[in-house]
Amino acid sequence: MTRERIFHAMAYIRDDFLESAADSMCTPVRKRISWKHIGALAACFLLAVGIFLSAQLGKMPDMISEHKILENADGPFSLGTYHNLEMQFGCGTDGFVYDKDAILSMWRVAVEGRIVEILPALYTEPKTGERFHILKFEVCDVIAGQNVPETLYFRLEEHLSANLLDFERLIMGIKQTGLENYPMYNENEHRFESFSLLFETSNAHGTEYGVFIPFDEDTSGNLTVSDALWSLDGWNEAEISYVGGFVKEFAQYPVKSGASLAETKETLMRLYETGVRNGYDYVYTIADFYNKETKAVFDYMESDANAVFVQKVSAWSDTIGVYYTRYINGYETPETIHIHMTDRKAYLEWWYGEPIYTKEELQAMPDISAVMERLDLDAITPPHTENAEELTVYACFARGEYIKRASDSENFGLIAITWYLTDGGYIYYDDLYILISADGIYRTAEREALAELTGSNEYLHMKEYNTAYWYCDGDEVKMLFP
Amino acid sequence: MDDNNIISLYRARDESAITKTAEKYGAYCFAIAQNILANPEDSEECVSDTWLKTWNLIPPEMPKCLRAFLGKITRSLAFDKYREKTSAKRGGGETESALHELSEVLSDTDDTEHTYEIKLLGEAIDRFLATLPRRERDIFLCRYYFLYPIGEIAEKQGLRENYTRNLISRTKKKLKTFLEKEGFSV
Repeated sequence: MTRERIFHAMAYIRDDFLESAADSMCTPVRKRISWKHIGALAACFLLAVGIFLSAQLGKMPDMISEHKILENADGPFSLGTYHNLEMQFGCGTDGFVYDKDAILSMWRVAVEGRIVEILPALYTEPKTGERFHILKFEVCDVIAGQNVPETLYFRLEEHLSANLLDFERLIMGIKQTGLENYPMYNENEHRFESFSLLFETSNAHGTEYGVFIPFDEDTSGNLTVSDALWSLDGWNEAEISYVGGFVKEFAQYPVKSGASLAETKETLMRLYETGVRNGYDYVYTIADFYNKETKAVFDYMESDANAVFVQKVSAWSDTIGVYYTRYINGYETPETIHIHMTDRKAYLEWWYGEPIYTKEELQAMPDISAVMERLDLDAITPPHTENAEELTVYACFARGEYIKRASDSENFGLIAITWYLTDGGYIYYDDLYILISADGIYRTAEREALAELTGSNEYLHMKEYNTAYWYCDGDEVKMLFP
Repeated sequence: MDDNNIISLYRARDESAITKTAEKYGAYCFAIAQNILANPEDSEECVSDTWLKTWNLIPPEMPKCLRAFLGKITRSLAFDKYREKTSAKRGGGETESALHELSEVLSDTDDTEHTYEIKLLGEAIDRFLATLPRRERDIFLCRYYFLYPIGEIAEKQGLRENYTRNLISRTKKKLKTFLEKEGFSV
């Protein structure tokens, strides 16, 4: 019944409104006050407010000042404490290409070459806490891919990387790790470090069998495939995953061990071309499909000025939806392209979202990384939490993105730092926003100010401060409010 | 005892939490139930049910505002009881009167009665209330959330009854317009 619906809907009215209304019925009967009295009362009130605000400003702690953020750039940052937590409690920057979404770009690049160096520092993926070594790879030949640099960097799980130095030559199928200027946390130097073009060789499901094809010199000095790698610790657990296309088939090739380098490359090329043409799997089918049907979109994406898009793909039984979001220097922007394809090639539509950045705008975007790299999250006190110093940081997360000011479309960078604080059981939420303008000046901003600036609250976390949203019972985190 | 200490008693599963809650909020919850049920015995029973339900909810719930939390439980329980008692015959009283007034705001043709849509509606009403001056909002909620008689509201607010009635009527019309703009069928 409609009237009952309204009655029940009113249960969602915020508590402070109810409190105020309840108070208005609990207080003694109000007497009407004359306007003469109101003037005097208002003057007293203003005076009292002035005194109160002066006192508050005078004792406001300097906990979130720019000065402190900058000074603590090299301070300790115990990212390790956040390991093994759920994704939602990860710590680091956003702008990730999630495993399934990343498969479109998988195997676009296959290279032959050698590892020349393993960088000395240990790096942590800020989103998941996984530890990596970063390897410098000198490319001898590009089997598949375009514009592949002669020297590239790729990341490999900490426990696997040393083994690769033992081989004379490698063929690898690689993909770019998410974004341009991908941020990794340098454990040795306690700071974020950006890699302009970082690759990786495995996906979220673990290292894949066949991703690396190692070669050693045989007794005649010829380079031949060695499968010694796959019997080493860690490598012997590698999987044949559902992605991997031609290399997956190669891994099952009956004469893989002992094949010459030339023969192996020839096989790979054949498999690659066949795979692209026929679609070994979902990845290639889609890639082929896109290239034919959405050329205009691809032309836009692959031009130099716009080569900073990251693909996000969702597929259903009869529809493929592709949602491209522009990332600049690793941070998400509101610029998007949507593609819908139904029943394979029978139906296609695509459209640009708003805004679309001009080249001039792209060149003048605020540098979020410059501020992000100076953040020391341990040194910042969650600003809205009462007695925050008595709580433990359960997890902390820093996310960067670009926003536009509603009034004049000026571009800003925004870093949202979110905290999950616990008293040992309940987990509370807090956040802090840092707004960065094109000239590099940055300042903290409250939710209300940001909502006014952008004309929307879509960039904001709307959880209430000083409210427990989760309860941590041992290893299990329960959500208190759906 | 302050609310945090009472909540701590619930968390510690200390049964004195109920006694302390009843001491502090018994009258408040009784008033809410009584406004809906217009029957002291039923209202007492409803308040007792409120304590039991609160005991079962905390933990894991951790209410930010205990009074509002208890009020919502009481209101919901009282309304269930009201429906139960009036399923055979529709009675009078403030509940029926307030519900009748509210029925002018939203159309009966809208058949969406799912919890999610009720939540959306609630959030829309909340946004609407945020646009109102505090006193107008208090009066509206006293009437339609707490179901106080208009005369009692007027008295507590220091206003004339006619003025209060007109104010409520205007607020209701504004709500109707607001919900229309928000896409609700009115």
